[in-house]
Amino acid sequence: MITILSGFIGVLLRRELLQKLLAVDVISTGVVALFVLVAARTGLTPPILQESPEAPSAQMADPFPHAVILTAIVIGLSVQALELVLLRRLARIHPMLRIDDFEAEP
Amino acid sequence: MNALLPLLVGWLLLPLILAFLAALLPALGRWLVLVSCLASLAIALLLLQDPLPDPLPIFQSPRVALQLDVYATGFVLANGLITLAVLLQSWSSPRHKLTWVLMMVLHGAINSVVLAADAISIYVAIELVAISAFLLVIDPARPGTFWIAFRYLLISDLAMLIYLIGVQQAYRSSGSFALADYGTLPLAATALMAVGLMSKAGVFLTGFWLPLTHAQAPAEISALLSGLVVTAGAAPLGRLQLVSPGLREVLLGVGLASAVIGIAAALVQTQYKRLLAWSTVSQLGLVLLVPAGAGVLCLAHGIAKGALFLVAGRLDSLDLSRMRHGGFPPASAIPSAIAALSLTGFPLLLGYGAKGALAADLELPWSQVVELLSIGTVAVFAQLVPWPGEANAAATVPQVVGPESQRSAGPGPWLLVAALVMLPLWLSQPPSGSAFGKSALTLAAGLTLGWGCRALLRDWRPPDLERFDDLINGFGVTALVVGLALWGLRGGWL
Repeated sequence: MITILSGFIGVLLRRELLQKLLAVDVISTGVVALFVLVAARTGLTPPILQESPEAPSAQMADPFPHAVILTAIVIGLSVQALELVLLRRLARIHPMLRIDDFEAEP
Repeated sequence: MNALLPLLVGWLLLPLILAFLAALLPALGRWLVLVSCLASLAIALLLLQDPLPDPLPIFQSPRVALQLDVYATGFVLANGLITLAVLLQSWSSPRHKLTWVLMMVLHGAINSVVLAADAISIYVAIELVAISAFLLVIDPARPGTFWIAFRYLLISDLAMLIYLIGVQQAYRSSGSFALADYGTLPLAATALMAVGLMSKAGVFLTGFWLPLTHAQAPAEISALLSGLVVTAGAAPLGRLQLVSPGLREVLLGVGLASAVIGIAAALVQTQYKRLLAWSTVSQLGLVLLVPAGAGVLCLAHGIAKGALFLVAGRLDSLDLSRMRHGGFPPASAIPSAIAALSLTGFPLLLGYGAKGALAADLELPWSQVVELLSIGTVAVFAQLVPWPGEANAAATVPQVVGPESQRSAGPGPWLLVAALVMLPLWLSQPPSGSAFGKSALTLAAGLTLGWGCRALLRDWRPPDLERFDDLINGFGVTALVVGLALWGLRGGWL
């Protein structure tokens, strides 16, 4: 949660676009951690079936949130990548990438 | 019923597969989009005849299902029609090479959002909508679009992260991701999910990214954005409301507030597309009021707003004072007028049936408030109509006369306007006798209000609430408001 909160503060307070983007990435990491936390309710072992019969399946972490958060990580990654490409284009207009410059235009 | 499932899954996947094909064979692009749209229209008609109230399960455990009830039908119909209109409008001049691919991905993603019945499918589909919309907004010829596209995707990402936190809380308490299990959720879960979806739908403070984005995007894309992409946020929000009664009452207040804010902001605009975008904020607020009727409302709004934006794309000047004095040729003005009348609920047009459904499902006094808001909507569009005494002011405004003024509005708007007129006949929404009288009154009141605002508020500009920091703060404030309201409802002191 602290990660998420600091990410939010970062998005708010930082004046440069790249830093805002990275702050959103920080929030995303925090959300991933939250999901791993909720998956750990049923156990801490990675949810991979072993061949040996005495595998403690009762103590495996819940795989469903893991699957969900993998999707979220991939989506987050592609969004960040797209935004970075756009940042390069934006840097040609205002090389300092400060948000106040971009918002000064009507 | 089981035979229907492969058909539906196939239809959902079709636009995405065709998009892939279009990327490989660009020459086929526009035809493939046509195929996608027609497929969606066919499915929508199928659903109209025979809606399935129970969710169609894809997996049993965990529960992943497709929900094809009456709720979804309006959205699918809107999706098919609006995408088709935008396709026709940009048939010969796509903005960049990937337009067709992106339109199909958007189309398929919106279909998925509307039909999904579990929180994670909604998340994935909304992100897909956001990414394809983002790519469509970027216009290589206009660097101004880069910044708003960046801002759009950033805000969308934030909104969906907030939504995910809510989903995580929901999973923690209910052990499932299916929306049907979300009847009693902890307060934080509902509030966070709702705030995330509200931002995508463009309502209340969280939606203030919408006006600038829709105004600066290329006109055909604005039509898609205002007509369809906002439904990607509105549809899941409606589904959430249907399972969670406390949320419904909170969103009643939020929706009304959004409607009023949208109208007020639209009244003071000087640029046509910004006016239309603020009107979208307002209308989406109304959509939140009655979840059961959200499909029809979004259909009516999407078609009308799409037509208005498509016409705006062919105009010479978007400055309102110029448009008032000759910049609005009749070929463009007529479809715009019909679309605007539909938005205000004029009988015989689709908007009438939609507003009627809205008013019928609300108790007094809320239904009266909605009817009063129609006056506000008329006032907004009255900004396009010069009042009789304004001819003197016209002398100071340079006349806009050029060969392009005589261009027609293009096939897209006419298709949508035809739909506005014909769909009520199909869906059998006969107007009552007093409807014309009430509508005439509304028009008169709205025109007066609009002209009055223009006269009184001639040079006043509202404070600029759309800066990036304000948007982020808007998230926080909305989350607080929604959270407190939900808490109050449960505690009984509201």
